[in-house]
Amino acid sequence: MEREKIRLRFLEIFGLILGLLFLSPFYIILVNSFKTKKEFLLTTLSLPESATLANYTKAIDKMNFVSAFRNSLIITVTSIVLIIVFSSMAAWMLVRTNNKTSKFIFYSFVASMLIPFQSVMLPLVDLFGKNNLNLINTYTGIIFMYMGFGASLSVFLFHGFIKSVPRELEEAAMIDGCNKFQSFWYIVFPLLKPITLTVAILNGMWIWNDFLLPSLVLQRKSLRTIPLSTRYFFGTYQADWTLAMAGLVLAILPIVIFYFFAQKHIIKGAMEGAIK
Amino acid sequence: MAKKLDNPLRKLKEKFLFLGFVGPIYFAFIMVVIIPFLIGVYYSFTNWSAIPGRAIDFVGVSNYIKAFNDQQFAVSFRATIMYTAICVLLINIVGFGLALLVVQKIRSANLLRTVFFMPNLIGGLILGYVWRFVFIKVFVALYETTGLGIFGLPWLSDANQAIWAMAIVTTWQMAGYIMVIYVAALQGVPKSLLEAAQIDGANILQKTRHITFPLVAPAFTVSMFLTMSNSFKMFDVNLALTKGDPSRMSELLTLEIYNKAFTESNFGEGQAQAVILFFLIGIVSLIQVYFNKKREVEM
Amino acid sequence: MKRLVSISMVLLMVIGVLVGCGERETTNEQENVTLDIFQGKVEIVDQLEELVEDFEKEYPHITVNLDTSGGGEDYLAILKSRMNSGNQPAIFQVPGPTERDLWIDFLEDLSSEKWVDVTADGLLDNITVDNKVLGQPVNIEGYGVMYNRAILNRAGVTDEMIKDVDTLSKLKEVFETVDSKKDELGLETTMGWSVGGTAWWVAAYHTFNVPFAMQSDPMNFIQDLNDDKANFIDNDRMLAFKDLVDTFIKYSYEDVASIDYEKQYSDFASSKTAFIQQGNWTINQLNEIDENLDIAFLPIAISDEKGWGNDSIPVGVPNYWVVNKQLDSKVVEASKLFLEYTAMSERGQQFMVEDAKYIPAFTNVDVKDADPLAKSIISYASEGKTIPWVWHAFPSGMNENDAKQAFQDYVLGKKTWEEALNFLDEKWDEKTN
Repeated sequence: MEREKIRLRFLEIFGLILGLLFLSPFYIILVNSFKTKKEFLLTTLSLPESATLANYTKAIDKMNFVSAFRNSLIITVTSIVLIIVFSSMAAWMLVRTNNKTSKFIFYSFVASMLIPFQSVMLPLVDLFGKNNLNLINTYTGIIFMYMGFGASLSVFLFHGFIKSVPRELEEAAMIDGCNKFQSFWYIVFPLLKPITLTVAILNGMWIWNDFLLPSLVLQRKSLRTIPLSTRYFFGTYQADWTLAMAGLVLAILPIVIFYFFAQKHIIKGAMEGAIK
Repeated sequence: MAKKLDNPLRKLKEKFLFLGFVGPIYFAFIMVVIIPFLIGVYYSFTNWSAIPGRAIDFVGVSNYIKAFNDQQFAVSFRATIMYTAICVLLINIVGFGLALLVVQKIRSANLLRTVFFMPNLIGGLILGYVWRFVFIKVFVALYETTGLGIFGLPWLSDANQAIWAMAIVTTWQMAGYIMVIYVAALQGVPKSLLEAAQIDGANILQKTRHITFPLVAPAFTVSMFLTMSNSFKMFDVNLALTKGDPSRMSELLTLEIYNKAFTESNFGEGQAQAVILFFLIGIVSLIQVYFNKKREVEM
Repeated sequence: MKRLVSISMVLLMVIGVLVGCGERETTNEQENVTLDIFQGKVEIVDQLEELVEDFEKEYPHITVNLDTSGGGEDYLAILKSRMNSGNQPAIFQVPGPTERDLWIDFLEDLSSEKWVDVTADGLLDNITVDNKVLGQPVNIEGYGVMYNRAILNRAGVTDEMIKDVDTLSKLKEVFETVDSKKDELGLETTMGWSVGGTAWWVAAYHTFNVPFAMQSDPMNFIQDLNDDKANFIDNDRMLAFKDLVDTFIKYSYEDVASIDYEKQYSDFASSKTAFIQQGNWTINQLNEIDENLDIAFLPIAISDEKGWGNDSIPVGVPNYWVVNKQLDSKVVEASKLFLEYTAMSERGQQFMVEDAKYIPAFTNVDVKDADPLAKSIISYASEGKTIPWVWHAFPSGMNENDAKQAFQDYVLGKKTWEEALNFLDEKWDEKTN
């Protein structure tokens, strides 16, 4: 056991050093978010002479932070919930149905992960634009799009996981009189917790930070998300780097906190049995 | 399951159930991804300029012929292959290593998971600024103090080095993301199995090699596929870090497609390149998934 | 071609013609109109927002949505997606002939607007088709070889010598004088110029413009290139241009292929370099580092030839406001009203001069206290020493893709000058055939 302790101690130190290395680029962002523009440009690496919160207050004001935060939250949370509900259902059905349609659908999800966004963006805004579905500048529109874009990866991940969930449990439930719907929600879904959290985290990060799609779809100021409003620190000829860095810190803080707590649950929810 | 009577009503009911479960997300997926993509494929056979109201002429396969004769397309193609190969290797090695580390019973495991994931939260122009600063100024300073050759390389002004630089930044960004997937898989490895091996006197390497590896093989398939498709489609890091410099040698395919379609207002040709890229990644990924699946152990 | 001669008159004459607003027939039954403006300049978004608010107060029946593309995102790409989404802006921006022709089906004829008469001569050429004025110039900008007078004086370059620069030889002389005292002056390098990094546009747009602008008829030359009647490789200006580029490389940073824009301007503002090639739009950024900089422009000379414009600086209109004629006629009218408000009302003029610190394109606007860079531009213009901005007439992608690549290939020694010119010829033909 003594040897085990030493090994862990060693791993701990190694991990912390590695962690610092990973975080080092954040140092540049953090220290400069407290500097004046001049200080930032002339002494980028040193600590701020007098830490001022001015960039933060100005960034909050310029980003319209409260409204942007609310928009980001509504869009991200709703999208994640919908993605999880519908893609876990779909993935389960696809695993449990062994026919050509099911295979075709699964592989079309997988294949679509290879499509670069830039090549669908113009037809997409046309389809959802004023002359067709008219969902530009609405929460519904962008949430629906996130459902569509998030579907592939989420179904893919759920699919991989569900394959390892034993059939017997569901069958037992069916015999006990549950219908398919109930046996999925009461028996299968709780077993999916680790992968559900993984899907939530991966999609959450992406949607929270996404810039390109909102920039195309949310054109009204009142609908701006956090990434949209931070990008207004970047002009054609100049960037307000110090403000932008303060804005970035503000933007990622909520998600870091969310992640920190969410991943604790992943560990707790770890289930027996291998992923297959 | 016991085979029940195959009556038509039951079949219909099953179809409805299938539709009910798969339908909602598949509908969104078709509307958002498939239809726009098919429209895009159609545009690749036209001279569409992306100006609404302009006549769209069908030009056959001439956009594809142009793409194959385009020197820059060839350069970008090569750069993309090299970049993807490096990324898939680096990200999976680092990501798996990180996952192994944070599932240990160390006190900072929770903190470290968050820390390793954090790079994923920085994108776009700030990512570019910070990393350009690191490569241009911090590395030079490190070279002057440590004398280590690796810091003295022309990271951003040499074509091959620039591709490595992008791969390093991508690894920094994505290793934590892939780690999350490996962590989920590692936690599925039954403790009893590892403990049994321990009792049998297996050391950590043996345990990893003979128990953990085979059991997380499916996660490898997933991660390899994700890193590969992600690297093939990389746009953000490319634009922010090198923007193709030097001399468009580090311009990856997606950026080249964007340039064709938007900067040069040549949407048809850009779209043709996108279709080629799609088939390229499709073939490579399928081969990769096929071989990985073969390797996976049955349990 | 001294098209911009009259701007000078304009700017110096200080005409106080303030045409009041509200002269347009205001019908009693005013229906509510919503006006979407899509613009690309994040720098002035707050000021523009205030202008919009006051405009809305003045015309309560009009609601304006100001939409700005930020993040260094490609304005044209986002504009295309806006247009394709059907949520088309009523007012947007077009930089010059290439994009003008792209959007030609959307552009409302603005020829009969009042501000057309007070627009300085020559400024509407780029936006006029078949005698129809299709856009309103947003402002005037200029660039050149910017110098720090204090450093030059300390190096022994007198104000007379500065004024006297009208050829490349004289420009080189000034560079050399400063360069020889680099260490005493505490300079990192003499000039901050780069062809890559985040500063690529300085070379690929602005430096690259010079040999075109110095053609005897630039627009004609571009047309000849399009029609394959002219070539880069056979053109005396293009061949001479090498000398200027070599000069810039010689006196700039060692890593001229990847130095970033931030370093360029912060080094200049903190007196670590004596020259940069930049425009008047940098004034705020420079002043944030040192507000007492004594700076002005030298011409960007490419040779010693008389009559090419080697004594001049490039001055032009970076963007035009245009009105989308495919929208409802009420929206089109409201849009015209907004443009009139910007150009003709006292409030609009305050926006241009005081808020946005523009050099206005209109003769009725009085510039009171211009910053040193604007002053320098005005003084060149008053002597008729300006050459035009013509890259907005190049085939799409020529600057950001091909000129950038040619510069980098040349700097890195991958192409000789002749090879670079041949490469540009080839790319130009590819795009125009």
